[in-house]
Amino acid sequence: MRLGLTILFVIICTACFSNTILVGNNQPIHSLKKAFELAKDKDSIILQAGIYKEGALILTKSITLLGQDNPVLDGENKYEILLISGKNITVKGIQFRNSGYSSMNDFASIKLVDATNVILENNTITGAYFAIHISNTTYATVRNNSITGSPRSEQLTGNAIHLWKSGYALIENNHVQGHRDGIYFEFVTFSTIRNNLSEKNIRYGLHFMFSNDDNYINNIFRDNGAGAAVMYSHKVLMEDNHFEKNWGSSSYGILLKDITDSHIEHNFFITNSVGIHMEGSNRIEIEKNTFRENGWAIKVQASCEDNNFHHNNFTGNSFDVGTNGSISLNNFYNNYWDKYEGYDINKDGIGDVPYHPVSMYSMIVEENPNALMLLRSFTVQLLDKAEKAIPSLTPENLVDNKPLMKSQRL
Amino acid sequence: MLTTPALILAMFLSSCSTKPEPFNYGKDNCYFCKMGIVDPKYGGEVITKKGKVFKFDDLICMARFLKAEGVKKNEIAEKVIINFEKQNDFLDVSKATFWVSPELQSPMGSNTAAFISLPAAEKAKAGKEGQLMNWEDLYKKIK
Repeated sequence: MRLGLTILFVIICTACFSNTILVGNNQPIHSLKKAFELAKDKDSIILQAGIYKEGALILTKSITLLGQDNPVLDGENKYEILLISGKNITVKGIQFRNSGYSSMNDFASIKLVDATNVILENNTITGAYFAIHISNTTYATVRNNSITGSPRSEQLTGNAIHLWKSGYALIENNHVQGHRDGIYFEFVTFSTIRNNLSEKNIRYGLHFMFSNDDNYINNIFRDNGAGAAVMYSHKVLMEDNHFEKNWGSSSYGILLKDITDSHIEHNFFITNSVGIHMEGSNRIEIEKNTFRENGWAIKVQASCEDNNFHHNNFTGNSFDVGTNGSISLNNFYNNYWDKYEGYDINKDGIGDVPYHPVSMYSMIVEENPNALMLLRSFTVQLLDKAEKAIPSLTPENLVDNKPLMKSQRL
Repeated sequence: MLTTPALILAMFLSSCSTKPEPFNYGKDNCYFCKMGIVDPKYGGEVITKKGKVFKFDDLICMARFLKAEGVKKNEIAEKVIINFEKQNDFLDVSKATFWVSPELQSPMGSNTAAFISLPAAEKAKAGKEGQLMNWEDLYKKIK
């Protein structure tokens, strides 16, 4: 009882000592810069509706900045709007527009440098070079933001959410579009990206480099230059994501380059030129994914080893698996392939003859891409049938010995 | 009557050009790391005597490609690098000056910019961190 009272007393006291500063056109203080000067740690600043052109703002105190009725901070195409450095800072409900561009520095609408425990929530960012740029920061939360790029010219746009040398970040429920990369991670560890929608970006929906021990779950990557590029990382969990409409001569759902010890589970790859393109990647579990109507469902380069592909559904793909080598050191089992023509006499749901997912023609196309023109011709089908009977070109041990007879519900 | 041979000759000649090809940003991919090329400040090309152009998004990809002998030494006609200060302006690597600095952020982390001359590089560096190098020393340093 006494302890309870003491705690209550402490809470009331702290509440008394933290002030709320109102900033608005009808308030005594109408500049955010002034409010930052006056504020002490743990204060709140409420920014009322209006358009504020204050150049480059710098926030280093532990305060909560709240927008009331969508106030606008305008960078006039010249300035980096808000630079945050410090700890325990929240920025919520503000519209940032027209931040500046610089060829030398990565100008951003909101930039976090050397910060910890920062929450950026419910903000709208338009017309930015980089929208949110985070470096040397831990425990940053980026949630419910809407970011729309308006590239002045294609290459003059930066990334929507950019993290560099950071850890323990949470990126969730954001909608990003029209930037270079939707979400970009370089040297970022122990972080989670979930429930985001990343679309119409010029290069990648998600770009991952040298970032270990991260998860990305339940995101939608749609209509980007390519879906996600995951490169030079290990221990990455990729789950429940949708990769859709990544279409183009060298486009793909996921590009895996030099990835090890990772997990790709229950994702949907629908209408991509290539669902997964793998290079130099080892020990990856690829299970329970849906590959539907892709050019190639999976391209496994010969540099990949010890990857397990199982319980995936392959339907309506032009090619199921493509590879550039004659030996394969990866395991395929218990997948459903709609092109499988075998039978199941003992009725255990598993086909009695093995399935070779690499068609001969996909080997030819790998060598000579222009040959794709003849894909639907009679001769090609004849060649494929002949190859199935007497394999000569296709890697003999790239085979699913236990193909499923029925597709699974995923 | 003469147009046909002339056309054939023209095609023949054009197919043998060993000039750098401007980057098509957002469309071209780096031959080595497969990433899309989007940053106009960085990148380079290796052009073979037969006229095949290999494009790279960062100097480090180009150097690693050369070290792995992605193409034989005696088949290379030109090695060019993007001028940091001018979009789609290619410099011969042996004539360029390079600035390696943590102040720069190139796509694949070589953090190296190329300049047309030593004075141009010095002007851009303007007392900031990093060092200026020529191609030979830089190439030796890259693993």
